[in-house]
Amino acid sequence: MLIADYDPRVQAVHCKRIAGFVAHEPWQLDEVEFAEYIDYRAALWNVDRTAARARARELRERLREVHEAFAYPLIGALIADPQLLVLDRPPLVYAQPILAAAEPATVFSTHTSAESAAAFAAPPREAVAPQ
Amino acid sequence: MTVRALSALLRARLYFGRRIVLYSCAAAAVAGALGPPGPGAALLCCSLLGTLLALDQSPGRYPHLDRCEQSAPLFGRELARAKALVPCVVAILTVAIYACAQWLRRMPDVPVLLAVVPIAVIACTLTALSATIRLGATRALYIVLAWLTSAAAYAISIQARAWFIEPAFCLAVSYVALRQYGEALARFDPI
Repeated sequence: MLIADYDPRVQAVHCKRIAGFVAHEPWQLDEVEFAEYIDYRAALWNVDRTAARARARELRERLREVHEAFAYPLIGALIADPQLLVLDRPPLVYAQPILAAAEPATVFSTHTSAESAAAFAAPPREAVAPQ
Repeated sequence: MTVRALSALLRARLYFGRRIVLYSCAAAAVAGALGPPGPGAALLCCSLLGTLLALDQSPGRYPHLDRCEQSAPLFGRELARAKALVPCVVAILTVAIYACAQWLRRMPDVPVLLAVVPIAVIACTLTALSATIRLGATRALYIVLAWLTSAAAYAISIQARAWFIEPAFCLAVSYVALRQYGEALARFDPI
């Protein structure tokens, strides 16, 4: 299996550069810690700090209906503009805003129920044409 | 790995492990204030603290940081060097605090302490890091190895008075320990 023409067995770093991972567990951070977390992620992914903070603000606005403990790790993964976003058992209730914020990345997610899998298989809200 | 990434990782781990950093520094201060003079007690105390600080870097202690670092575009060896820096920095800080406490008491042998103990504590800490990625008897073995490293450094420098051999011994042990830690992290890359 290749990730964008990279073999993860021998080109793991290349694969990690274009993929973002969001763990299942929520992470409670205050505002100051969140800013530090964004700087930390930007440093690890070698993303410009100013651009990362601007992107984080934009994503925080788009994910305003998502609880911070779930939104912050997702924002951290998205500031590097990954081509592939891997979600570990994402919360069903936030399926639509997560999918909308993740665009245009391809989303790969694991689920513990068919209902959750179906929710994340549906197109994001903005992509649905008005009636 | 860029310097920026290295310092970010160091800052993050020191921040989230601030409690153990504070306790270690306090323990070093108390030990320095109450302990006997000479490098032996300092080596014992700071080696124990260095081992604890290394074990604090075990996977699962800070799961969100672990996942950020494992999913970051970093080679296993780069990540190992960065993670190894965290307990080493704090271990050196504990040595400095211990030495300050001894100096304030006007204890002799503070220069000897500063010449002998830091490099030995680093070797002990780096050896103990390999215990963080192992379980059971192997984990205990690496911890014992770490303490034996400190004991050997003490024997070489103080008992045998081979002042120039002790740094060479500790550097060699540190290199091997760090290399082994890096190879283990590279081999068990989750991707």
